[in-house]
Amino acid sequence: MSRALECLLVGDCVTQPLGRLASRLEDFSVTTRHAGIGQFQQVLLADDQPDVMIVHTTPAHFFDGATPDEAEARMEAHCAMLAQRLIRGGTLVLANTLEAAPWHPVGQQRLALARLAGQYTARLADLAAQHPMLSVVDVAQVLARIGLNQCLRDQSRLVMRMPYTKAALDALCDAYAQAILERHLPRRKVIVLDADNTLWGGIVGEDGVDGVAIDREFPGAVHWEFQQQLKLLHASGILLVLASKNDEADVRAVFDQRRMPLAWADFVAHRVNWEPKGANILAMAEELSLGTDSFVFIDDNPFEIEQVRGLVPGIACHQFDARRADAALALLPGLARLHCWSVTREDLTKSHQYQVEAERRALKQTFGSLDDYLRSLEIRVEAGLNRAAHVRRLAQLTNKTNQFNLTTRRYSETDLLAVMATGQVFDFRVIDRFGDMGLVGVAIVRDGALDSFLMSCRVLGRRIESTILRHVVDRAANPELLARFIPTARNALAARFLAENGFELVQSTATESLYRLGAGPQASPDILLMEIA
Amino acid sequence: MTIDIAGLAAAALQQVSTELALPEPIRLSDETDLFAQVDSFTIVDLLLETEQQLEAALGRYVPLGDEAVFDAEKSPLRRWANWVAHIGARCHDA
Repeated sequence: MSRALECLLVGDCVTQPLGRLASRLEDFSVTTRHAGIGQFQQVLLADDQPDVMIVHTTPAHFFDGATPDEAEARMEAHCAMLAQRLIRGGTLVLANTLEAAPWHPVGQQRLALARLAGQYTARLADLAAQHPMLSVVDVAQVLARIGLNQCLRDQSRLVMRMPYTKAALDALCDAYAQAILERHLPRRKVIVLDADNTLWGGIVGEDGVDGVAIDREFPGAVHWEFQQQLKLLHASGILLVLASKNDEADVRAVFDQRRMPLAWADFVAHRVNWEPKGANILAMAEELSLGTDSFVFIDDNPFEIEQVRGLVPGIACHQFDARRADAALALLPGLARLHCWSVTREDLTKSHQYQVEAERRALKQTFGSLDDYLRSLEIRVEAGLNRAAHVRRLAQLTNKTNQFNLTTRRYSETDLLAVMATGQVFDFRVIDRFGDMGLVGVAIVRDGALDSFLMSCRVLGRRIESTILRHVVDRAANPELLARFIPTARNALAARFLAENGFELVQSTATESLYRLGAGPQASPDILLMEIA
Repeated sequence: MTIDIAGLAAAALQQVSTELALPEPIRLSDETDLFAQVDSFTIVDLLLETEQQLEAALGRYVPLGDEAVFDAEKSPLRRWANWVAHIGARCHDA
């Protein structure tokens, strides 16, 4: 079922053509409303709370008939209204950078106006840093890519208050839709990469380590820049895995002996063998405990793409063709589901987390009993309550965690802030001797019931979930606490959790099982839980 | 270079109808009064779409909007044949 989304648009031009962004939001049932031209004050200062508010300004709104000082004053006033709107909360606000400064016959004055337009971008960036519910769409870059002469028409602007061409409007609709999707849909987590003719040009088994093309000269430069893009994604929390039909020693030799942006260690899993890539990808997904619908696969070979697409459910497959450099280097920027508006501390350490997890698995092999292994980990849990500073990560967890999730209720940042005002939103950070796994668990108690209980699969199997449930039950202080298990296609893992942790079944239907607190769970004596303010 | 202006104009209208998911199909004849059947915002979309298709066909920008297009009495969109003639005249002037 599509999620409903109400979008209100206001601009100093006609905004109805921008309403076509709704067709780019296939996962949503979108209703759009349009305010009158220039009604910024009426919209920003009203009590209206749509899900999304697009506040589109053209340069004319600030510069038309204004001295530079007057233009700057208008910008300041506009940003102040945006801030007031953002402080009230409840709505995702999209603002935009300005596509161009106005014409002036004097070069130095032209530069001063260009600097003002840049200062407006800086003001928006400052606002976005202060207010998590503001996204800024870089309209300047969107239109620059097309070319301003192809985007702006004075006749249309003057006749019908619409300065943009159809091509520009299509690009703006894409950009605004992308900004909305970044806030509402989880990012794909993993990119699976082929090696030959993808990470480098040529085939290492035939051309040798020195014969493959990966350097700053064409065609190696295409692969070099592609790797640089992957490196950026990796640094923002996307996991890279390698799936190559090769002898592993040959592929490792390229990483070891050739200079390139990516290193072997940047890949959190590797399957370099002669097995079908689809099977390899399924194995790596199980190793990482991640669903394949969060995977993207990139290969130069359409046969491999077809094989993987047929075997791996939900994976997004894309062909890489280095002979067409523009398309090759537009591939990753064009994958909207790899984008996000901001990253959390957990995102930035994601790859390291998975590598450390591999060390834990290796350690486990050396112990005779699970109890001894768990004791050796020296697990510590930090429990927080209603901590608004972590709302971004908590919203991310509720939207991305599918397997160990009792009810799979999704919360936006705004939703969580509202629940914090009336209920209890618990967050849990897990640390052991290998390091800090970050915020990995969320529990929400409201209206006498455990509304949500979820944990990242990375930390399952260490009795942490029972310990944090004990903490939640104690802090809820409600002997009649209710809890639900709502089955989905993905959360069978959590089906028996409540029954096995001291909750009694009250009633069960096809769509949900209702439990009441009984004896409650037992915390693990080997786990130290501390409450953090 | 000669182009089929009537065909281009109809194609532009069809594209706009599809993109905006207009509820009723518009049956075109020389006498069709488009101005009476769609709102002013659809007319904005139609002008932009037609200009884009003209630019792709001719390799140059041909402005179609003027003070008459949105005038309830004078608009060439009051009669489809007039709209096609309007486009032809603009192509000639540009």
